[in-house]
Amino acid sequence: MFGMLSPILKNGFGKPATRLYPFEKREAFDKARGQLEIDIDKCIFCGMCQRKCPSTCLNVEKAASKWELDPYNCVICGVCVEACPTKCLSLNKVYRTPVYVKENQIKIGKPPVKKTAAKENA
Amino acid sequence: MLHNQTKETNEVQTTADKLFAETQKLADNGYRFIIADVFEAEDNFELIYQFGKDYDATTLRLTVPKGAEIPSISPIFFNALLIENENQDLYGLKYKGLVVDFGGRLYMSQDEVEAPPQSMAGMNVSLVKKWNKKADTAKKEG
Amino acid sequence: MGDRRTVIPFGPQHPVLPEPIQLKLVLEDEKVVEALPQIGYIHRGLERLVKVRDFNQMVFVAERICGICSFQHAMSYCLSIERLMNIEVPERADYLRVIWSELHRVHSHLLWLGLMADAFGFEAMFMETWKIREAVVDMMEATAGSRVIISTCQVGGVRRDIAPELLQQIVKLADDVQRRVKAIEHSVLNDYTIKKRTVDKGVISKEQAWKLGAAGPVLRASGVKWDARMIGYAGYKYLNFEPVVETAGDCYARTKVRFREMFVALDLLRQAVAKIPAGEINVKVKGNPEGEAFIQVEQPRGEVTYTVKGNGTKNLEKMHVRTPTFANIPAFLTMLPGCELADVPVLALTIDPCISCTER
Repeated sequence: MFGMLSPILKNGFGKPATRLYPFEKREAFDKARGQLEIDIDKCIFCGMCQRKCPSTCLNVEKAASKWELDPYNCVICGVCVEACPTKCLSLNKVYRTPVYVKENQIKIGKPPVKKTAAKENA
Repeated sequence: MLHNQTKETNEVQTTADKLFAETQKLADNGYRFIIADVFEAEDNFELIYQFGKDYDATTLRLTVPKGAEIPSISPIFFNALLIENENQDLYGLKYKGLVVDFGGRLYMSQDEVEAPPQSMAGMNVSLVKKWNKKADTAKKEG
Repeated sequence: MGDRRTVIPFGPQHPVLPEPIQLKLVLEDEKVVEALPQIGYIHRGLERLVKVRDFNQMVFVAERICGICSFQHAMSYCLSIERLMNIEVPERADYLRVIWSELHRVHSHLLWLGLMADAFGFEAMFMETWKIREAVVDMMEATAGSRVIISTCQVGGVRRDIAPELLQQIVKLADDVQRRVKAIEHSVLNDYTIKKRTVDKGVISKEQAWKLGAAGPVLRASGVKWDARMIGYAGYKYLNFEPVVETAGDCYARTKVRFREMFVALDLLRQAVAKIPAGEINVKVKGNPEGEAFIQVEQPRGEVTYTVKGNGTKNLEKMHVRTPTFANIPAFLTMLPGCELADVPVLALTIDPCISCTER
C-alpha cells in the first residue's frame, strides 16, 4: 500500500520532471539529426542522393542545375549525406518547425564546369 | 531455405492433397505453425509453410496452379486462419475449410472489389508523375 | 440465457487501444462467449514496396513497420539480407546492434507498463514509467540522433558508432533505470488492485500457448522457455542470459515476465558494453541478394519472422513479415471467451498489441 509513497513524495516535493518548453530549451545532442542542408555551390548535380534516397524526396535535374527537396517527405535518415561524393549535403541539429504551407525547397546552382570542356577552352 | 545464422530449415516437398496429412503429422510431433508465405509466379503459386520446434524450423513447400483450391490447415493450427485469410485477400488464393472465413474482407473495406494488380501496388504516385513528366519532356526534345 | 446474446463492437476507437482494431464481442450478460477480430484499418502494403525500392532502401521501410520495435525490424531485415548474401558483419556492429535492441526493449516494456497502468486507472504509475522511459529515449537520441526510429542499421553492419564515453553513459543509464524500476517494483507486482485485475484472468495453458503460436512474453508467461535470442543472432551469441519464464499463464504472469525482462535487458546492456571490441562497424556490400531466407528475431513484443526471396536484381522478389501481434491475436481470441466485459481492455493490453505491425 505504501509502495508508491516514496515516488509520490519525491514527485510532490522534488523538481518537476518537465521543462517550461519555449523558455527553457534542451541543448541538442551532438549526433542529433535535424534538417537536411545543402551547400549548392559545391553540388555537381550527379543525382546520387536522389538515387539513394529511400523516401524519394529529392529531385535533381542536371540540365537546369536544380536541386529540389520535399522536406515533408524526408525521413532524415542521412543516407544522402553519406552518399554525396562532394560532401555538400549535411544535417543540422535544428528540428523542423510546424508550417502552414508545405513548400518544396528548390536550390538553383551554377552548372558544373565540365573537365573536358574546360580543357578544350584552354 | 536458409535459416538464422548457420542453419538451414528442413525442407519437405509436398502436394496440395497431402498438405493436410503432413501438417497433422507435424502437429502430432509437437510442432507449432509459424507462418505461411506465397511466392507468385506467372501461372502458379509457390506456397511455403513454416513450422517450428525448439529452435529448428521445418518448411513444407508446394506448388499449386492459379485458381486451384488449397486445403486450409486452420482446423489443425487455429493461428493459420489470419495468414490464410490474408493470402485470400492479397493473392486471391482459395482455401477449403477455413475456420473463420472473412471472405476477402480481412484487410479491405466493403467498397473495394479486389486488390490492385501487383504492378500498380506500392508505386509512389508523385514519383510516377515525375517519371511521366521526364518522359514527356524527353519526347518533346528528342 | 442462450437467446439473450448481445454483440458489442470493441474498437476500432477505444481508450486503451493506441491503434485501431475492432473486436466483435458476443456477450451473454457480462460474459464474453465469442470474439472475432476485424483488422484492416491501417493496412499500408509496405511489403509490396520491395518492387520499387532497392534492397538497401528497404531497410528504412522495414524500420517503419513498427514504431516501437523499429530497430529490431531493421536489424531482422538486414540479418536476412546478410544471410542471403553471406556477409560477415564485424563484431563491433553485432554488439552495437545488441545495445540498440536492448535499449528498444527497455523503452518498449516501460511504455507498455505505462499503458497497462493507464488501462486500469493507475495514473501515477503511468506518469512514473513514462518518466523513466524518457531517459532511455534520450539515450537513443544521444547515440543515434533520433528518439525512436533511429535509422542506424544497414545491410552489412551499422551506420553510426557509439563513442566510449557514451558507452559508459549507457552503463550509468542502465544502473539508474534499474534503481528507478526497482523502486516501483513493489507497487506493480504486489499491489492489491493490480492483482485483483490480473491474477487468473485470461489464462492460457502451456500446450495451448505453444500450439496457438503465441510469441514472446505471452508464450513465456505460460511456461514455455522459448526466446528467439537464444538462437544467437547478432551479438547475442557472445552474451549470457536466461529467458524469463513464468508458469501461471494469466495477465499477472505476463506483467511479471515483461517486468523481469527489463532487468535482463539492462544486464545485457552492461555485458555488451563491457565486452564490446574495437574495430570496423560495417562492411561494403557488393552484388545483389539471391535465394530464400527465413529469419527469426526476438522483439520486445515477441518473435518476428522475416521471409525474403531475392532474384539477383537490386529489388527483392518478396518480403514477408510476421509480426508478434499477428501471432498473438489467435491466443488473444482464445483467452477472451469466459472473461468479463470489463476485463477485455486489460486482456487486450497484456498481449501488447501493435496493430500497424500486424497489418503492415
